[in-house]
Amino acid sequence: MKERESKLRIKSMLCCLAMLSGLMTTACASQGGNAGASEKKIYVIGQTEGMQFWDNVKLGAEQAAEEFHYDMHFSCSKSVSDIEGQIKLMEEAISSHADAIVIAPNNSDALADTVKKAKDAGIAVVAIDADFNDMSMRSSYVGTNNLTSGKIAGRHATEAFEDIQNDKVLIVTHSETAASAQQRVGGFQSVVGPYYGSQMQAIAMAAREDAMKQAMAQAQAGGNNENGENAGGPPEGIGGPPDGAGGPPDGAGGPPDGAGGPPEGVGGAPEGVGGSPSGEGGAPEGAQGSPIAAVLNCGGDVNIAKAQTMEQLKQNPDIKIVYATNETSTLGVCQAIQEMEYDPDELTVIGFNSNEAEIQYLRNGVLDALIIQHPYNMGYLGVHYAGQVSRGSSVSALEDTGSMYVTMDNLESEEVQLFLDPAGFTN
Amino acid sequence: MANNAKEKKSSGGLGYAILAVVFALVMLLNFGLLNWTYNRAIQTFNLTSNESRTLNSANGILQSVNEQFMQIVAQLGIPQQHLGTIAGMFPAVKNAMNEFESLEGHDELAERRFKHARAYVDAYEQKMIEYRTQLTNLLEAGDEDALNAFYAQLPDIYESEIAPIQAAASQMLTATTSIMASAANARTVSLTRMMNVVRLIMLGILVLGEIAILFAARFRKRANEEISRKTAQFADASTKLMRSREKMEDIAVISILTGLKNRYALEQDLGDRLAEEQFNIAVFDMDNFRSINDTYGYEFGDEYLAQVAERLKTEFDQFADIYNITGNEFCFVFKRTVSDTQAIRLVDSIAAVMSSPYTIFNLTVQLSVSASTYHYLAGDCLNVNSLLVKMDNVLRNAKRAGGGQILQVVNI
Repeated sequence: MKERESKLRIKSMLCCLAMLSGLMTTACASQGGNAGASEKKIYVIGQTEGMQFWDNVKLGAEQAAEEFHYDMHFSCSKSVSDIEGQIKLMEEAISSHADAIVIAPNNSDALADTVKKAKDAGIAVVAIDADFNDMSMRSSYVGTNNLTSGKIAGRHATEAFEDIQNDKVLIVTHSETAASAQQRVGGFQSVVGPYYGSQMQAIAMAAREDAMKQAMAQAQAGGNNENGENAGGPPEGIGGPPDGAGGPPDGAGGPPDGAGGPPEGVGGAPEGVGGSPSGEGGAPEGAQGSPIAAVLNCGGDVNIAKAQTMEQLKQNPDIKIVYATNETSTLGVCQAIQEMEYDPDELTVIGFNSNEAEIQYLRNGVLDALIIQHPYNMGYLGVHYAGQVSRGSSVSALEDTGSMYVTMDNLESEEVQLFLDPAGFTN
Repeated sequence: MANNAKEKKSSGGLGYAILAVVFALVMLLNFGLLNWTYNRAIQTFNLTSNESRTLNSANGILQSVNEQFMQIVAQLGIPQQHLGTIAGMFPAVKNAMNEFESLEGHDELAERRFKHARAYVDAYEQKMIEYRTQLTNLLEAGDEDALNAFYAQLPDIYESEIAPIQAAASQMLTATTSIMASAANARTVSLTRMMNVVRLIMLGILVLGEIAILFAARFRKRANEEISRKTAQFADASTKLMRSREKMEDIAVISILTGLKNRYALEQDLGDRLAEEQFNIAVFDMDNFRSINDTYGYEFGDEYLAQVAERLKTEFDQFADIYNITGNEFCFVFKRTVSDTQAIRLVDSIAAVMSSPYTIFNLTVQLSVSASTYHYLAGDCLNVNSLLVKMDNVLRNAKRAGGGQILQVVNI
């Protein structure tokens, strides 16, 4: 009896040992399997649903989440003007106890309260594509240096002027409030305005020189002239630099740094829709000295962009250069030009971003150039940095993902393809 | 029975042996795991160090390339020198990246990011080659206007073609490093956990071992206690057995009625002495004792004998060994210390005691006593029986003569 009892005890001890070992092994396996997992929850909030640009942002965000083991949730507001939608998405992220929010703000100021609420809840905020006016609202901005990209567009636009005195530029922007739109327009104007001013000044100088030469020749040829007292002066209307042309006009030049507030020319955009050159900016004095025919705001809607562009082109045949600041505005402009059956050589069109339809417009000549951004890297680095910030690491406060000027000449090059087809290089 | 116990004992021993082997194996396994975990940790550390070193090196050189190109853009220094430096830097970048690729054990996702970074580095190098060639040609041609025009375009080229690729290459290389660090960290955490688990298992085994030892000690103690208890029980039983045996032996040699030794005892005690010793012996018989039994019953007679025996024991036990050889017949073997003369006197005293009145159940009875005495000499008789026959004959003669007489056995 006792023998049996002791045997039972030994058996039970062996069982305990086996169970313990089994438990440990299970623990090992489960821990090994979960070792790489992270509980960081990151919400990425884009600007516009259904845009290929945001699809690429999403791809980058997804791959970063995969590589760094984050739980990533991607969503977009309905359009770039849907501020309420973005606030709602942010509220959702806050109530879901997100660790970080990566957002492309539709309106820097309107989102301020919600961002503050998120930060108060300990949620890291990283801006992508469009920055906040108040940089303390975010830990990092990952995106295009929109001012630089605007300047690149502007520099190439200046090459397209054939008749600087008469050629006009139409700007179609996607938002009045988004900093990205403001800076792209500002950068563009900061190049085009001074260029126009210097060109006009040169023309005026040349005209004055010609007039002076003409006057001197007349004086020499006229001999005894009773009105000789007037001969030395320039003819009226020619003398001196014209008002708006002598320097960078306020409305066209934008702020010197281009990054501050919206340029006046952008702020007054709605009035500029009228098509009158005087309507392109809030600065009447700049109207005379600016090549900018109008700055239109389509609010991120292709159809509005198209309608506005058609109306402007009809009203102002001097428009020879069109600059669109994002995907929707570019598509609207292209559709308008196609519908109006413009000769591709008549207009120089510089668009923004790189969806398939835009690339197609570039291939068939409707578009002359595209400023392409790197949405994939915005999504990727945005999530990567958001994760780092939520872990308490410091990240670069400003990460320029770059922009490239793409024409048919370099469309197929590897560096452009790297920007256009990130999936091709990462899958 | 003995075999069965042996088998049980050996099966218990086997159990402990199996337990010990299992403990040893698990411990061995744990040591193996610990060793493996440690080696993995070292490997992870080395791999991460090498990965970071190669990627940081590549990234650092790329930034130097960028700085050199920026100096060309800003028209600082001698462009040919910058171009030469840039040309010499790319092989170093490639070497660092090739070294990275040759390392084994990369995280799969880090590898994907590295390939992406490599594509940017390659594109960046192509761009550099393109503009380096263009600038070299212009410098060699010595066309100032063309050169100035090129320099005028360079900031734009840098901003829209060079910087974005360089930035992306750098960002992706840094991201690769971060992924590797993250993966290494995860691996380290996992290994640390595993190490802790192994330690826990070892601790568990040690605790179980301790428990096993305690149990074994307890079993042993209980078994010892059981043996002691059984030994005590056995000893007790043995004592009891011995006592009962003694008792039985006593019963065999002692008269139940009188408590005196019986005839068998006489035979045992005297048997060995007959051939070599001399002694005085006397046999007493109460005359007509049968009439007592017949008159008052056996119970009365028994009580009478018991009282007589009791008095005899009390008074003569020190002088002789007393035997109750039949119902009313008593035999006295005088001790060596009792002289012949003293023996004769004692015989008289005994006869006097026996024939004195006794009160039995409130009745006083008195019987005379006949006796035969024998000064036995060594070798007189072959056995006790013949001795008693001799003495009984003399006793019978005394009774025939009317009883109340003491006769001596005469040696022939």
